[in-house]
Amino acid sequence: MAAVAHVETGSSRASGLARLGIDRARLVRAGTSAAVLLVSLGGILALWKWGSRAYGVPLLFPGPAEVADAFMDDLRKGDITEAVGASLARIVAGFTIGTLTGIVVGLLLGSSRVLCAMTAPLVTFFRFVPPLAWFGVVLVWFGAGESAKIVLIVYTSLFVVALNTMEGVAKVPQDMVRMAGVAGARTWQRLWMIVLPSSVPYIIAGARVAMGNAFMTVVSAEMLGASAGLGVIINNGMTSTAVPQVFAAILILGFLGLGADRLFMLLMNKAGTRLTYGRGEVA
Amino acid sequence: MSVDTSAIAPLLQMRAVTYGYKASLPPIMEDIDLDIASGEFFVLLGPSGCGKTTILNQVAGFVHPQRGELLVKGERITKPGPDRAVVFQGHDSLLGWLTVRQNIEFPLRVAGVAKSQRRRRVDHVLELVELGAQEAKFPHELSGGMKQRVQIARGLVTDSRMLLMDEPFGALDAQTRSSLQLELSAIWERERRTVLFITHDIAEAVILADRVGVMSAGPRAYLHSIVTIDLPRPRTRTPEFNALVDRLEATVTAAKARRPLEKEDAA
Amino acid sequence: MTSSRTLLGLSGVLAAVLLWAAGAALTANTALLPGPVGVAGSFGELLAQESTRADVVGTLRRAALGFGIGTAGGILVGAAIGAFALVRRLLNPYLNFLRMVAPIAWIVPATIWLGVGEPSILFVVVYAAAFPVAINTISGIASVEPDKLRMSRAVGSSPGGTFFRILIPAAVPYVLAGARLALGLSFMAVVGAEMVVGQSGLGHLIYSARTFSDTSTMFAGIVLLGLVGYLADVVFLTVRRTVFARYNAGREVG
Repeated sequence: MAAVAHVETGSSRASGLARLGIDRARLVRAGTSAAVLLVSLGGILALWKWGSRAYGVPLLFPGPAEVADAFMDDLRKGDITEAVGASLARIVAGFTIGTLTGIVVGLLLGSSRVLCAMTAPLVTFFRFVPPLAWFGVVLVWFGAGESAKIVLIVYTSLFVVALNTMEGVAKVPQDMVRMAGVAGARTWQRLWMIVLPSSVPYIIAGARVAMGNAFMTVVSAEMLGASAGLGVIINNGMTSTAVPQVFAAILILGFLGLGADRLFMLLMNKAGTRLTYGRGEVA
Repeated sequence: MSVDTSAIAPLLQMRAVTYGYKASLPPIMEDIDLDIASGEFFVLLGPSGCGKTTILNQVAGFVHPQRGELLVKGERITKPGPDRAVVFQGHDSLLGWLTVRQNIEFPLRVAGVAKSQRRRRVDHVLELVELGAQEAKFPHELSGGMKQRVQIARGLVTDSRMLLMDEPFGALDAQTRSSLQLELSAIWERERRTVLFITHDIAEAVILADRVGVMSAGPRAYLHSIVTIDLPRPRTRTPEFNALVDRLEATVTAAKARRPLEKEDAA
Repeated sequence: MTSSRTLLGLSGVLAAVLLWAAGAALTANTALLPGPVGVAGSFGELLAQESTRADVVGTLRRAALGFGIGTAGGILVGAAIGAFALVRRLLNPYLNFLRMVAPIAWIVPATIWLGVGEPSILFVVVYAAAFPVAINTISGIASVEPDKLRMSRAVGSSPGGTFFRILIPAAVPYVLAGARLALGLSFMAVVGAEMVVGQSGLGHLIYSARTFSDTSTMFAGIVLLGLVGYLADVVFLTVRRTVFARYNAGREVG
């Protein structure tokens, strides 16, 4: 009763918002979160500034002002853009190639019980070898150029995506496969029209992890030797010639990673309702 | 109108079909002999564990018998095919990323049927199952009854000889089940296919079937008896209907106990 | 059924080794692609050396220490975020941001704040381990069925009591799943850090072999690393199966 009365005699502002289709409660919540974030950011910046002053060596531990200065400087010079471009190019190239091949490998291996069982021990073993451990070998094979780093990212993406694709293939419902048989589908038709679409949520989940691994691998690989890239900036910081840039690079890495992850969450939600509704959570 | 099963060559023949999981264990079913005539609506009735779904799976070609053979139009069944369309018990076979229309036309796309013909055929079955208004919806937006209608439409869209239905209305509420039974009966009268329908619901069997095959309990299940339902369609709860239900109940009781029907079974 | 799987698995390994040997024979360049025999030899040499044992112990020590501290921290932060809405409001944006930064990127600030070498490596490993555990702990606490919490309130338990007697045990399977992830990521972080700034450890061993183009030792080191990682995972699973068995009862474990 009270609720009904409230709606009928609600303030004009509230009904104005409702006319625009904005839920008042959500707006308030979003506003509070934003306020909390701003206040805490302010607190962190203050803490940072205090920490830097207390440390006393601005060359080694710069404050937020120095970092912002160095960042703007590099932005103008184009160093940051070049570094980001180089790192992103490697990630995108390696990730794309690795994911696509990983899907194909996962579909093929996942469809054959025999191949699955044969490769199982190998897969289990190599899961525990960090991709970066192969860097030395890859350097010997491909030299110190772009391909070495891209190959490494291809490796880690392929591995993760193939594993997740195989899980998706294994989880295709039996009735679905049977229905395809009733329809007279050939193997390639079954793979392309049934198994692949059905596995998409798993593939996306795998790609999400692969993207994270790609970022980690590219930074480490660049730290070990490259001409340009975010890892190079960090590496330079180790010889303490350009430390503020290191902090800037860390911030950029965070934002890039966040952006990529949000993209995946968007994809997963879009694919999710159509594909997994009724079959439960996937990742 | 009942079917004269003697004159025309049967569409489906089962000869001494025996099925079990392991050779060392007793088979689930043994020496099943059954003929189903072309255009007949045959219902297989029985308790759980008697293997009636497994019979359907063998007719569909999903599994193979240990001994004996299954023939459709005189040829051995070796694998699944569009001539024996299947309506599954659950909704797993519906493709969640495709619309209702796309789900129904799936067998036609696989077979490479041209777009215009596909459109015509799908329009026809959509009208049959009365799903025209939902053709652009996705499976997760449909009710249970609608999802089963999609499966039925998919089963009818090809030139299938047989429609195999595995307890399709089992998971639905009583009301939806009733209306779908009547719908199915009406559809079948328009699109005469041979139907093999599995159920454990006796009333459902009497509403739908030309003949009802009653399975005994397993293991070593056998085909206990075949009861002919000679009532005009659509079927309502007349005294004749109820008498047949009673008779089937008695038969099922005897079949569960794996003994012949006796006078005492009549309630 | 299982015996045929093992048989197939063995045949798969055999096939892989044979392919490898064929490839090595074809390229006939041991610096480029050493054969299985050569690598086996290097492996034996590695095991015989005293320094290898020190390297293995070093890597394990750093990984274990970082894993331990990181897991503990992750549980604390994750539990606080999961249980208290205020903490979640405050920390969530930072958690989601920081976990996107590759752990190795922190090697420079870590060196500045904590000193060169060991402390900075430890920081990187702790960083790598903490986030999966924190995230999974949050999931675990969020997954507790509300009925359990209502029941706890109904029998008169205090918020602290509910926290320790209901929330924490319910979250354990998730925490363990996160810890397993963290174990793998700890190894990744340790190897990376050892390659970049380390003077010892398996990562350093593998990477420094490239100065001699000694691919054979690199492969041997990789095999050793894989074995160590695999064994660590086996140990983890055994502990989970025995010590934490009752927490996983009735659940599908990841």
